[in-house]
Amino acid sequence: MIPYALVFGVAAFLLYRANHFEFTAAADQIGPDNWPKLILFMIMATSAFEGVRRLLTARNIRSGPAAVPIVESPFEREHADMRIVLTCVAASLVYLALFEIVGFFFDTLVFVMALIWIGRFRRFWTALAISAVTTLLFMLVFMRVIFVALPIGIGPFEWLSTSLMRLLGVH
Amino acid sequence: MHTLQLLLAGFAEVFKPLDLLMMFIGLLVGMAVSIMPGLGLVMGVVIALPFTYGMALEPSIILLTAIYMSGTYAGCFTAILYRIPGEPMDVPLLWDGYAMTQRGEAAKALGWALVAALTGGLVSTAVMTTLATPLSEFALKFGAPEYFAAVFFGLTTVVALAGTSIPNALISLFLGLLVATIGTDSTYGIERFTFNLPILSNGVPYVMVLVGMYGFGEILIKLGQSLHVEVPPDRASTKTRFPSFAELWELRATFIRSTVLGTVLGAVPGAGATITSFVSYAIERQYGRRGSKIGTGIPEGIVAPQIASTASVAGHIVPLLTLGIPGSGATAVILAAFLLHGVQPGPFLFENPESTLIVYTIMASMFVAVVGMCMMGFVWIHVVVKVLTIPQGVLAAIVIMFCLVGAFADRNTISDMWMIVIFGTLAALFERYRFPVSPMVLGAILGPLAEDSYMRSMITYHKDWTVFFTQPIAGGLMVLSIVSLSYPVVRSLLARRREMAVATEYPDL
Repeated sequence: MIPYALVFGVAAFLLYRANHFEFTAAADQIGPDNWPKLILFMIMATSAFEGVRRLLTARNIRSGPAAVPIVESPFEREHADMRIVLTCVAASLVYLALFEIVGFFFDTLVFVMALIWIGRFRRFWTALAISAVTTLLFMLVFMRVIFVALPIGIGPFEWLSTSLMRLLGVH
Repeated sequence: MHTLQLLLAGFAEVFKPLDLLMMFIGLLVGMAVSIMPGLGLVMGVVIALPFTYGMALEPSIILLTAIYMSGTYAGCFTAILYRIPGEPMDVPLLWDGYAMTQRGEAAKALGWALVAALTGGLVSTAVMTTLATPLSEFALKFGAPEYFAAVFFGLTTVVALAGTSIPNALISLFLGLLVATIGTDSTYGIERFTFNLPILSNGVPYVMVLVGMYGFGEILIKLGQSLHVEVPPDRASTKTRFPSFAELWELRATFIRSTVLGTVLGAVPGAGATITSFVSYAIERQYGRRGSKIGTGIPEGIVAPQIASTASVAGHIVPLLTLGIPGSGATAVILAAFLLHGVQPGPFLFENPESTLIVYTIMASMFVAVVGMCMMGFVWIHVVVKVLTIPQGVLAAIVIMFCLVGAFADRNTISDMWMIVIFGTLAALFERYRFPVSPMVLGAILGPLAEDSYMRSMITYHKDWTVFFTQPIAGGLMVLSIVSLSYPVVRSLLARRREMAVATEYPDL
């Protein structure tokens, strides 16, 4: 029920915003708000329908055996543990927040270690070696082959990153 | 004759060293990702996408197509040998394949899978290559209403085949379409839903939605599911033994049925290799000569799903090349590679000799890829299955890095990395609340095309929405859309009626 209420609420808010788009439409023509509004109406209608339907189905389950299951996928998967998922998301957010400050190498080294640990691989030195090799390979491929300017960080991290790049032959 | 000449020219291009190298790498990557239960062929093409930024168009598309092609085949190794389906499409293979392995017929089962993949891939590619030029000529007749109807049909089939509740699939689709409206409107030039945030002013590139939801999000889910694979790859069990001609002849009906089914279903947007594999297995079980024995370890149970899933690749690629409409996650990535190189797939690709040659080079590469993957599968199964020994945590970390750094490499901006994390988290929430991901991704991809053709139709026909039903091609596609959307609802209602009838007849059950 909560996801449908949330989707409905967000759609209603965006519909309000769409009503305030500033534009001058040619006479007898539709404006740039027409398509988004059409989508938003459909989101609101579908989420309201499904939310109410689930509410009524839940009541039926409580009051008797008449409830009928909805059609589910033939290859249903087990639910993911949301604590692990959220830990991984949190690690990613920290990684991105520090990306330009610490620079690609050190930030990625720690992040890959963290991900390996979250993935239940607990041999520290092996994990450290894997993350170091992975990070260096990414630096080499993206900076030397694809010519992407990965961040080098600021302050001491900048000096360390440039020294490392010099060692790798990246200019 | 003209098609054959173009195809021969395409073959000449494919055998250039760089194109061949890219195909070889693509086939290897496709095999590796399709074997790992945590990855998949879509993830494979997503990971490879950043590497195409610095390449020419031809090797880029050859690389991605080779990953797609071999991704539909290699999963059979682990499904048959170890009962580990690399992808959902491999599930039907393990029912009969693993049963044969348990009887000591693993080599035979692998041989059947190889012949099936070879047949499905070659026949389907040949059929679709023949149809490409007529299809593109037909597509040239498309105006705005026809394009809108074609996209609408694609989106409704994705919803219908999403395999979950229809309202959830619709909400997912509408959210995707909504994401596509963010940014500056192309007709009026006004900003929509940007909230004065610079990250949103240029819109949300659909590649970020795709990589975020299929790549980053899928890995988040896999980490949360604590998937653990323990396999001792045994070299002795990885031999392949081909079926005899007499055995092949006995299964001719299965071969024909499954190839036709895979090719036709493959061309339907949303019906990826998984759907075609399951449908083909079910059809074989229902109508096959030995249908009642399927599931006990007979070759038909391997041949039917394997042919169909490999045949679906050409079925998906050709509509992308001729209409510019991707019908699956993998073809959406291939479309992204085209767009990154400044080429818009569609009927106009066939209008000048240079781009026509590119199209036929891709087709030729698919023929070579099918043969190449079967050869590699025959020789290197024991090497490829070693991928399973890589710890899941390490693999997850590497894939996440590919998603994030690949996104950064696209426009050299950290904003795109934030988008990957946002859409990845959304994918994990979708999975938690049983919303399918595919409709949202395809909605975000096809949204701009849908809006553009809708706006042009409304402008040309003075806001007359009946044009979508009164024009012959558009009307036909709209009717097909309504049928495809109604089918699961009708099926659900019939199932409900049957259940209620059973409940009334046997109240104690």
